[in-house]
Amino acid sequence: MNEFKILFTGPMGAGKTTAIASISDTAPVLTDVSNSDQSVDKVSTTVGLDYGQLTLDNGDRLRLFGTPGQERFDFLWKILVSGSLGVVILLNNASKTPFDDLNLFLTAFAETLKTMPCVIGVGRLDTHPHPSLDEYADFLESKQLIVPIIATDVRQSSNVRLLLDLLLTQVELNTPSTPTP
Amino acid sequence: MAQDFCSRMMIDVIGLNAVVLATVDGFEAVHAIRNDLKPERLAALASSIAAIGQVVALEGSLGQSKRIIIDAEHGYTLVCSVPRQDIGFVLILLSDTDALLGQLNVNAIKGSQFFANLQILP
Repeated sequence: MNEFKILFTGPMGAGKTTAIASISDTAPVLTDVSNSDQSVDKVSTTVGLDYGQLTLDNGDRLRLFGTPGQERFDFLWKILVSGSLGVVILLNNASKTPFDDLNLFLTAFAETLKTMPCVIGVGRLDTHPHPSLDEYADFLESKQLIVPIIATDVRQSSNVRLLLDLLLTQVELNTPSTPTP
Repeated sequence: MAQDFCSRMMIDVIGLNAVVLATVDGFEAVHAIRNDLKPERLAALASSIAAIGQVVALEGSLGQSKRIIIDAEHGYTLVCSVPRQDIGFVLILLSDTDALLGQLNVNAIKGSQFFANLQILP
C-alpha cells in the first residue's frame, strides 16, 4: 500500500474543511474555532489544519490536509504543502474578489506549482455564475498556467472525488501546473 | 488595563521578549514586545499552535489543552488558552534563555486567569 499526501487550500469559506469531511474514511481532525472576523459570514474557521484519510480502490491511501484560508496563516501553507503529491485549490464564486483570491494562492504556491500538479474547484457557480469557468481559464492562461478548473459542490463527495481523480490523472501523466518553456 | 498587565509582565519576568493576547482565530488584541517581533504574526501563530494542541489533547483523551510549551535552542514559547464566556483568547509568551521556565509558566497561568476574568477586553 502506498500513501500520498494531498493538500486542499483556498480562501476562507471556500469549503476546504467540508471537502475533506465529505470524503474522509475516518472522522476528520479539525482545528476550527469561533470566527471573530465580522467581515465574513461564518461561525467557525480553521486556524490550524484539517486532516482526513481516503483509501482508494487499489488500496492506496490519500492523506488529506487542509490549510487555513486567511493570509495571516500563510506560514502553515508552506509547512503543509511540503511532501504533497498535488494541490487542490478551492474557490468560492460568491466572493467579491474571486480573481484576487485565486491570485493569492497561485502566488503563494508559485514555486510549488512549477513541479506539482494542481486542480481548481469553483463553488457556488450555480448561484453566482460570474466569473465563468472560461474567464478563470483565461486568467490562468494569462499567467502561463495549465490547471484543470471545474465547478464543484464540496458537500457532494462525488464532486470532491472528481477533483482528486483529475489531480491523480495529472500525477500519472507527470504534469506540473507550469509548463516547461 | 490589559495593556498595563502586559507591560508589567515584561518588566517583572526576566528574559521575556513578547506577550501577545490574541483571539482564538488569530487576531492580535493587546501586546507588549521588546524587539522587532510582529504581534500580528505571533497572534496567528498562537492561534494555530493552540488549536493543534487542543486536537492533540482531545485525540489522546487528555481533555482541554491548557498550555503548550516550546523549549527551543534560544528560548521558550508558552501558549496558554484563555477561556472566557464571550470569545476565547490565547496568550503567547516568548522569552530568551535568560528566562526561567517555571517563572514563565506561573506568569502564563496568571495572565490566563487575568484575561479570563477581565470584564472588558480591547
